[in-house]
Amino acid sequence: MKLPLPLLESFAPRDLGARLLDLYRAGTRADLIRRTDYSLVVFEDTLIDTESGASREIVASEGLSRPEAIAAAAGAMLAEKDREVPVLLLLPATAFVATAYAMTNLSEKMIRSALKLQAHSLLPGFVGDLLLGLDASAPEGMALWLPAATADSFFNAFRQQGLFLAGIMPRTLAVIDPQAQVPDLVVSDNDSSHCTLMHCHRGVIRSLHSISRRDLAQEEFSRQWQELSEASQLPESRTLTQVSDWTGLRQKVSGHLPYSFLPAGSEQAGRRLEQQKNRRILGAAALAVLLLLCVPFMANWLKIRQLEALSANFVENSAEARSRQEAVFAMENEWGELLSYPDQDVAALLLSLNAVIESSLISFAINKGVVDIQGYAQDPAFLVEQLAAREEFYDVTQSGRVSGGNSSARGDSFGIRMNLANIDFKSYDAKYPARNEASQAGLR
Amino acid sequence: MKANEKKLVILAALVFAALVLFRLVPWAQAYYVEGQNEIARLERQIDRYRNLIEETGRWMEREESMRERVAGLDAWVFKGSTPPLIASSVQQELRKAGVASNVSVRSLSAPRYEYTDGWLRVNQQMTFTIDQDNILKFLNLLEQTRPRLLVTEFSISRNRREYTGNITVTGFSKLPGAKG
Repeated sequence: MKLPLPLLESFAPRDLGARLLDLYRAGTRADLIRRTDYSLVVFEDTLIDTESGASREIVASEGLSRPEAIAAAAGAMLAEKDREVPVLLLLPATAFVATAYAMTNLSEKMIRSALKLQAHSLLPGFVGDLLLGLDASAPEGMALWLPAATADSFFNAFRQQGLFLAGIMPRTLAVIDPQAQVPDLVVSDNDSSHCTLMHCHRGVIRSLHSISRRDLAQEEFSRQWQELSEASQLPESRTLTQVSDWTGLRQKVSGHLPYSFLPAGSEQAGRRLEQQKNRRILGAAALAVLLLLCVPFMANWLKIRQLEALSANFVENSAEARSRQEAVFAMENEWGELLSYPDQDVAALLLSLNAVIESSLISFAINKGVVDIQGYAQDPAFLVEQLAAREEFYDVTQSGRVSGGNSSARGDSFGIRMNLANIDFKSYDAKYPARNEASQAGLR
Repeated sequence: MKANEKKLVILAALVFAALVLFRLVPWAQAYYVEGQNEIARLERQIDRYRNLIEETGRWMEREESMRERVAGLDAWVFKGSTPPLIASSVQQELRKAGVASNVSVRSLSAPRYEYTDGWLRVNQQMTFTIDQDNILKFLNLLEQTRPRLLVTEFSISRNRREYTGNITVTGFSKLPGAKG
């Protein structure tokens, strides 16, 4: 599938997994190298802790390989220290094989892949797996190689000593600072057996030359080396020739990631560390989520506690009012039924009607707030209007047929029904319902 | 980790997820809602107490007023050990009011009893004849009667020179063992 954008094409789904894996591995490597707590330099037969300046002789004995001897010295040196912490081992540059490369217009990954593919044609003498150390950010420079078996032998030897070897790096790089203001630096790293010249540009090894002291004894080689040394002279250079140059470093060497070689065991440990870190992050995230989920409940709990305290305060302060209220309620409860019985003041009602009807009533009846009257009036409709206008009545209606009377003086007969305001037997009966009379027969 | 162990772990994770989804989440939700309801209840309670505190003076006045009203209420109540005796008292009071206002009693029906929580209500009906001039007197006397007779029904109609009436009054009596 052709994706419309080159960027998207470069992240095609089929490559994405591999890229993520590369990123993960690179992250693991970087994390492992960054975590190193000890940097130990091998200088001739001495192992030096660059931070403390402490040194220990590497004792070679029969039946003990070089990695085992170095690991034994490291074990003795770090006997008092925390042995679980990662160690960076700085070996002479001659322990590595360097090959030059120049690959323009290729990505870092492509350069790395190309070099790995060419590994056995570049270095036909090595049959096993080779680890590649390379800063492919530059199109040309030096690639370093280390047999995986060598790296593993160092890792295993250190593990036997109870130490964790995180990585291996050429010691010459110990004095290179990729972030230094002066970009170019030449380091002359010499010991009793070899001389090394390394030219770095912003942390990238541009050239690396090594010669044994024995070869230097030959005039031709000596001359060539001299010419090379003179040609490599730069304003900034550093020379390391004796133990004191290393013991005097007095700083922990940070591994240069591109040129750090991680044994397989170290990578595994790194992955374990990464997994542990991930687990810790996950655990912390889970804890954070759990705490976040608990926030509403805790907020509820705090609010309830606060309101309870406030409520207790109000309860205390309202004691007087409550006792008064309770007394009122108790009296209402005791006497309410009698007090709230609708009191129909019939005498007042008759007087009120008399004012409107002027003694022409034939009959009057009131039954639980409903008043029925009959009589004579000159204008019954007007009478209804008059009664409806009075606030003590509502729902005033004519209940009987209006008919002319025998005497014109008496007017027409009428029947009117109306309800008394403020008299509500329905509500009273609902509030105080009467029980079946028979059930209380025993009281009679 | 072996394949079987992986399967077991996945199964356990699924069971745990189901437990969380179907039990823990609803429980947590219910617990949260319960908390919110409790908060609402406490807030309402606090509001009630706050209002109560603000209205302390009003409740004091209301209590005084209630006590004054209740002080005279005992006289409104008919006393008697049995409902028929109470009904007899109601009839007597009604008849007394009638006699005092020149009412001619034509008939008295059997009393009707209504029982409520703590109270006995006796309804007594009476038919009568009365002069027009005595109607208000009769009604006013009933108003002043102690124990109190409350008028539930009243009807009156003119029949030639006299008025024929019908009245139902209600008297209250406390039941034995009632509140207060």
